[in-house]
Amino acid sequence: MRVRKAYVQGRFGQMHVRMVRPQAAADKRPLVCFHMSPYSSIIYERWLEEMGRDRLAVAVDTPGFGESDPTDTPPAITDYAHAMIDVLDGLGLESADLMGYHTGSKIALETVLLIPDRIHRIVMVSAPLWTEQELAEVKALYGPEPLSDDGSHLAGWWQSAVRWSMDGRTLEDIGRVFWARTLNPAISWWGHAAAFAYDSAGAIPKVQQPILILNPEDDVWQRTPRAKDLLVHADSRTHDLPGWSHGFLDLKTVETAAIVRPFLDPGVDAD
Amino acid sequence: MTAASVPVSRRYVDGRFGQIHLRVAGPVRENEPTPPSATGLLPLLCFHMSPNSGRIYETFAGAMGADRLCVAPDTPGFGESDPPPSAPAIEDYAAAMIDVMDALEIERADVMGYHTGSETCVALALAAPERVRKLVLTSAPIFTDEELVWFRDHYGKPELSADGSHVAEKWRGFLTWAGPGWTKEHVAVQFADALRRPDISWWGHAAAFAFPMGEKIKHVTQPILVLNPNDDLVEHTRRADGLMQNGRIEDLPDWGHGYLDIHTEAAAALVRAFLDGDQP
Repeated sequence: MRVRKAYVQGRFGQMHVRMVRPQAAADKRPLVCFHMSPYSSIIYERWLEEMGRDRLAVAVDTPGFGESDPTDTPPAITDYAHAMIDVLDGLGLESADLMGYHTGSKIALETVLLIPDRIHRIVMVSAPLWTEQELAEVKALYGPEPLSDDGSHLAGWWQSAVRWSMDGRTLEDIGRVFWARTLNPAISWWGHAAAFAYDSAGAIPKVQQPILILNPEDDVWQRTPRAKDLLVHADSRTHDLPGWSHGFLDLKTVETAAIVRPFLDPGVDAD
Repeated sequence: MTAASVPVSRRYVDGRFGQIHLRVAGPVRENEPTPPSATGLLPLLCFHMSPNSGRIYETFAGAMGADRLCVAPDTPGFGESDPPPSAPAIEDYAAAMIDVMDALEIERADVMGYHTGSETCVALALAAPERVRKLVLTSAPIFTDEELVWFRDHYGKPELSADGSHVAEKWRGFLTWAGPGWTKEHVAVQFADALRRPDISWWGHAAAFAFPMGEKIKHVTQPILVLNPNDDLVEHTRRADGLMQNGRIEDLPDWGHGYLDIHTEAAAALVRAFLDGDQP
């Protein structure tokens, strides 16, 4: 199934989406996916093809990333969430499930708190909770970066992508998405800044819907288990993915779907 | 005279290779058919260089859109446009651009190209002469057989490194050829598009180096304005002198890559004078 792309009008300008519609009429709720910072909806391309087999699967470029227009000033997670609601409205989605990856998982949390009646289930890839000291460290690591003359800033970003990729992810796999990491460097740190300013520990206990936290062994692997005790709904849980890291949506697409589908569609037998 | 600039929006149309991503400025809105230009001026279509995308025209399209519809598509396989199933020829790119004209209900247009895009303009003018009125070419590269050997070698499929040195090297190449006034910050805006699809991004150059520009440009009967900034193709472009039936070369020794961003108004004035004047 081929990914189709489109624009939807949002409060900050045009919002760019990738989506796959199932060939047959789908009775399952649409799944709308939010990406990590920086990157874009490109990280979900293969995932959409898989999940789009039995439901409308959508991935949105966060404002300022991919092809979505940026906010005028550094936004908060709640601004991103409002923009995502604009996308739901623009696509005519009355109800949906949400999935988020790192920063995107915070956007998903905030979106469900803003429109609890329209969101049914949430999948979060990582839910890092930071101590004050850790937060100071990551903020220093992910601030604005000067552009070098010799390209060393780009080589550094590439090395970081290679370092945090799971075994089996090839340079070609990384090359397919890496461009999105390099887009709009003057403002691409806004995503991390918003994420680090967001109070996930305060938000998670307010969510009444079931949450599935996937915890791959990536750069925030040790920070996510702290969220376990904050989950409210009886169906909420964390699912550790040891040995998996960035790239798992491409390399373990079917395996991930086998974990996510039973959570999104309780009472439906697996294929 | 015209207003400085109008907003540029983005949209998709369907073409023979899949979705084609466009930047559009002027009297058109998302999901609406193109109304006839209020000013009566023909639309202007702008084709980018390889690899890159229609983003190189973002600022310029905003300026030209003040008095006409200006459309900058991403060539199939670049930017957000779906790729052809296999390595295409320049004629295939031109055919996809006819799909864009059809989708936007543009009967006839002026066309503008940049490097590879210049060749697409020529191919389009030859394939559909009734639909192309005038051509503006940023560089009209005509290569010797010797040069082609070097270019093909230099612009082949990129090898990906584990340490990112291939990305750093590409960045240094961009900075080397950045024209006066085009800063690192400008380059960074365009650079990401040059990193897309490393598996097939060399197709654009391969098509360009297979296109016999010197032979083809002789047969174009429409007026041609060649803009020749001081970039990596300045010498190759001079060879077009004397080959064109109805064209001239404007040397721009103080401009280089990035002139569309740095000298937007001056470039728009040059292009308008040619497109809207009586003489080429």
